[in-house]
Amino acid sequence: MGRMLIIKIVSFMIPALVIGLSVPVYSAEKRDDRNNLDKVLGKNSKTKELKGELLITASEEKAIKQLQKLLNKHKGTSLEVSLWFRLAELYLRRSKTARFFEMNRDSDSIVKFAPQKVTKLSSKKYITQGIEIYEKIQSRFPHFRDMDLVLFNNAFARQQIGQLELAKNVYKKLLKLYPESQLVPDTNLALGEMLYDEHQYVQSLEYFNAIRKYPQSIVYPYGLYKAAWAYYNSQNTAKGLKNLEEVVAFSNQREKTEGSHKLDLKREALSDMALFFSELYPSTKAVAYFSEHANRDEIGVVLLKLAGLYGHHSKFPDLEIVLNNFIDKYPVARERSKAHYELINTYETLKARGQAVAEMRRLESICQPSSNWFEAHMATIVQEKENNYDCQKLLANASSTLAKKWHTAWLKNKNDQNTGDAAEVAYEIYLALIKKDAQKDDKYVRALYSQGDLLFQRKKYRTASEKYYEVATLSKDKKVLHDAPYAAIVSLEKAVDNKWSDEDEKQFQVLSQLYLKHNPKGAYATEVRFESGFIAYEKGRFDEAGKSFIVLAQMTPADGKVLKAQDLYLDILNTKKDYTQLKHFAFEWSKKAPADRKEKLLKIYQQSYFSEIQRTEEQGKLSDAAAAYKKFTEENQNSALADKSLWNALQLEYKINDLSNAAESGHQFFKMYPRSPKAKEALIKSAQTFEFIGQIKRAADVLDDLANIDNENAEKWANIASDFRFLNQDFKKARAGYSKLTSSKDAMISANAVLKLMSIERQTNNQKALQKLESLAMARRYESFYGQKTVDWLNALYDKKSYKSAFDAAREVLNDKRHTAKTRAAARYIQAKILDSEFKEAGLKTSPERLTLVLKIKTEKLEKAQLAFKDVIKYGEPEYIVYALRDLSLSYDHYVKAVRNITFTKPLPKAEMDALSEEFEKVTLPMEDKAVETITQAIDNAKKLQMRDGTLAQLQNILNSLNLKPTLNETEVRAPARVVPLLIGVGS
Amino acid sequence: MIKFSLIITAILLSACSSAPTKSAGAVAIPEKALKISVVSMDATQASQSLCANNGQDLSKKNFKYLIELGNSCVRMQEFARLEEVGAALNKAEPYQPWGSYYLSLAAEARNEIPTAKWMIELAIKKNSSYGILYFQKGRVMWLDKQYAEAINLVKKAIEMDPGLVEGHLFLGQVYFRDQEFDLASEHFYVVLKAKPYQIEALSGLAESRRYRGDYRGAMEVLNRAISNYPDAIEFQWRQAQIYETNLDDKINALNTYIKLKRKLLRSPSKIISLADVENKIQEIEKQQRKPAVSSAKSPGKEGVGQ
Repeated sequence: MGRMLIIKIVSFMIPALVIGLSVPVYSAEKRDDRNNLDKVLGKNSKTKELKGELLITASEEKAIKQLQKLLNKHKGTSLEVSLWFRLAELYLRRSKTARFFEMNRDSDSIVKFAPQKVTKLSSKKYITQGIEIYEKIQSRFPHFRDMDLVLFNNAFARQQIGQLELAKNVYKKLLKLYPESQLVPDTNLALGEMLYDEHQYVQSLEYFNAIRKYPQSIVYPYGLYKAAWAYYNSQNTAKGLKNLEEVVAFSNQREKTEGSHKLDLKREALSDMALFFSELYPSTKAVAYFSEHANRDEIGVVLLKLAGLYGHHSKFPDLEIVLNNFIDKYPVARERSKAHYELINTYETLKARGQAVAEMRRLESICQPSSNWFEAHMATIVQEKENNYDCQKLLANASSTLAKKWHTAWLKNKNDQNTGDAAEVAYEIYLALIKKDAQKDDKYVRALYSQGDLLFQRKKYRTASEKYYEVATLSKDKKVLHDAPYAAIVSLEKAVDNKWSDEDEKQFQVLSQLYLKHNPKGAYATEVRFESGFIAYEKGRFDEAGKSFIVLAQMTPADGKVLKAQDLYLDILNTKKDYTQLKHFAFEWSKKAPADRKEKLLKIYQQSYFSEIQRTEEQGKLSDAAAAYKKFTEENQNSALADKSLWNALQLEYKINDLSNAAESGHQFFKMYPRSPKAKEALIKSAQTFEFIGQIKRAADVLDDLANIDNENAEKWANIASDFRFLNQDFKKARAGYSKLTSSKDAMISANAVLKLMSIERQTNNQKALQKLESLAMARRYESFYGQKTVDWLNALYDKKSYKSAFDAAREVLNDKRHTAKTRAAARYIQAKILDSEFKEAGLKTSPERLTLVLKIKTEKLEKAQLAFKDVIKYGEPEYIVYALRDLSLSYDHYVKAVRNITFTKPLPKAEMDALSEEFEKVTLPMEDKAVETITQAIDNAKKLQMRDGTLAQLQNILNSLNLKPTLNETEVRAPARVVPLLIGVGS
Repeated sequence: MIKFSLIITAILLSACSSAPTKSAGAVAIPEKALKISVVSMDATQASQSLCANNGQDLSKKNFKYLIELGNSCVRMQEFARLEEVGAALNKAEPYQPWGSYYLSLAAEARNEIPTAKWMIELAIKKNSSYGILYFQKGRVMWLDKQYAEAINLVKKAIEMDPGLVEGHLFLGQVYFRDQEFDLASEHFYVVLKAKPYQIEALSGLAESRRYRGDYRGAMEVLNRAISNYPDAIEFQWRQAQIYETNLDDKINALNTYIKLKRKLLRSPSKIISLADVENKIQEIEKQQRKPAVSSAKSPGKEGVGQ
């Protein structure tokens, strides 16, 4: 396929060369009439060309008319044939002009300015008219001296209008009839070309090789050249290559003798040799081979061509060998820059980006003004129109193209570090190359920006920041001036990773000032300002940070950074323990905050509020702190700190001995936070405190609540609450409280409840309820009530003189060991009194005969009573000991008096009576002493027992009586008068 | 088993009945509580006017003022106001016993003896170093007929506060009634040292000395009483009796009865009737068969009677 394409190119080129050759050789016309057209068409190159053609057309028309006139005039003369030949030539010229017009038919300027008539002319028509004239000359003037030329032009014209077979015949006729003609080489060439075009390569060789006989012919090298291609296409590449070598050698030789030639085919031959060489020899021999055939200034182009062919056929190693060998052998060759360039592209094709980068570096090295290559070529290269070897242009193209390409590729596969690295180098090379033009256009800035992006994307943040910063300093584009400094800031932040050195911070200030200078209200202005404060904050310079944050924090609308500034400012205040300010700002900023933030700010407000109070507390202003805690609770009832605050308040109130308020606060704490784990503790302390300050009603209120929450001790608290109500004379509530406790399993509580209820009903004269309660107390044998009731019952029997019943009842009590000692002492005392009564009632009026018996009975009864009283004493109950001793003393006295006053039923003689009285006196005297002694014992006991209820006075009067002393009236002693405290000193 | 448990119950309840009211728990009294020196004072010495000023906001008043106000209310027997003062004191100085002390006095005045007792016990819990507190408790116990405990408390009170004259007077009276005249004399004597003309002490000491047989001593006290209370005719009556009965000094006895008769003629008495005095005069004159006037003229005898 490659071969076919090349053939087509060559075949197209050859007719053009031939036409170009023929026209100037066989026509020479003066062209004069230009001035008028110049005025119409102007002076630009295109219009000049058109103008020229119009002038020619006009003169040709004129010439044709002139010739036709001459033909009429010289018809049949010797001039006629020359005039026909001239006319034919003019027609052909016209055809050329006509073709020109056809080619430019779409041109607006031609359509606009060319004359209508001229543009309607058909080339073919003129050529046909020319052919007809040539045919006429051939037939009418067979001996015309320029018949070879007529035949040639006829063939050529037919060739032009596609009459190839006719053309061939005419050409062959020329060879046959005029073998000595100068047109033989050209005719061979024309015939060879036509056969070549018909792919009859071997046949064409006959004509091409025929030209070898005419080395002086102008078409000689062309014949060699076309023969080379015919060999090549007939699979004889080696012979073809030889022919091309001959073309080159011919050119070299002619150049030596004639200098450079217009139609030199050396370049084409050398170029085509590359193709033929590539099919015959290894790439390693290329440099040596072409060094043999080409000059130093030609070899680079050929080798580049060869490399191109290798590349075209994906023979990249061959390409690499050829170009590297070339560079090695000809380091200062002009084409070296292109060789590097091709190698770069080849490596890129092979995805060998490392090599591509290395090659780029090599290209960069020769592109340094100090390099030999640069000094040798750049000055001339830059003057060239196409300057294909401009290393800077090539390097710029390669580096910029590949930088972008690699950048994009890396973005698609960030694991491909090689590509990323290559892109970085490519950007670097490109930027270094174009930096000198940074101020001229924005290429540098754009590339620098892209490089910054790549570095950023590759997490090389510090360098990225530097690049972005440079972009920001160079660019004048508004958007770039916004984005680049911000990108530089972001990159620096990432590079620093929150560890700001002083240098970095300084750089940040430079960047932020740059950003804010160009974008005072930029999209990131708030963020930049925030960051400035944030760095100071991170480095612990809170005052400085605070100044930044507070400005931001008060801005509206409150975007993310503003909110963060608020948060950090609050944090600074918290760190500085400036709770007053913290409280203030948290509250202020909460006012316009959305619900969730409002909640958070209020939480901070509450915490700072709380901390502020704590500080007040720490400063020892306990009273103020207590009041503040209470206020906090009142104002922030839903706060998690509300209960703690109230708790702290009450603790402080206790601490400063504001017990009344503390107790109230404790109760309040329970009412507000009944489920708090501290509620119970608060209530207990409140109750204790109310009790302590004598507010028993309030203590009872608190205890009622305590009973409700402290199940374990509910009855205990309820019992105490009822006792306080009882003390406070609040019988209604006390009754209600006690009523619930009468069935308590705690015997002490139930008994206390019943006994207190009895007291209440007694005081309120509720006999029915009292009776019921007394029955209950009796059934439960509640002492001392039960014992007292038993004693009352015995006394009642005794007072009714139901002595037997009383005695028997007392016996029952005595036999019931469950009774207390006091009750049993009382029971025995009842019995003693009954026995004492019986003793005292035993009369001593008798007859002398019965005296002994009566005395015996009296004495026995005394003994029984005495025994009973002594039993009473044995119980050890102090009160009954005194009573027993008293009564016993009186019994003794009674006995003495009874014996001394015995009366007889019949009087005794006086002497007997006196003797008997004297005997009675002796007998009773000890008993009399016993009475005094016993009452004295009673008095002593009563004194020990402090029986100051009048008992002692009574006993003293008994003693007085026994001692025959006057008794004193018993006087009532009233409670002493009230006294009041008199302060005589107050200290601490 | 049941029997045993019932006995235990009985014992427990017996113990319980002596402590009618339980406590919610003790409140610790700080060591740095206000220290106050206090002596007892006869309530009659307190201000009269202070308690008359009702409607004051007591929460603003200082401790000293509240004490003076409380004393005034005791004197004026304004016990409702005294209750307020007690509550205010308990708020202002909760660790001081005086709020509870006044509340005890107020409760006692309302005859709420258990409350009065509870309050004074609370006061003693707060500070047990003041005799006056035990004295008040003794008073309450006496009113509650718990005589033995009352006596013991008053005795403790005067030990702690020897200047507590009312305690001595009370004990003198109790001992006198119970015919412990030596003890009674001692207490009356203490009273008279503090208050030389305390009339009940004068009376009690004179009688005690008389029953102890110290007639001269009794006469000395009676003279002091008569000189200070010339209208208290019972002192002259007793003096006359001592002359007549104990000293067998009929002349001075007769003169004393005659002077007494003159006083009764001027202003009759419910304690001593004119008839009794006249009977005595007649009885002695009959025994002496001498005109009473002549013996009354003896300057030396009259001097004793004076």
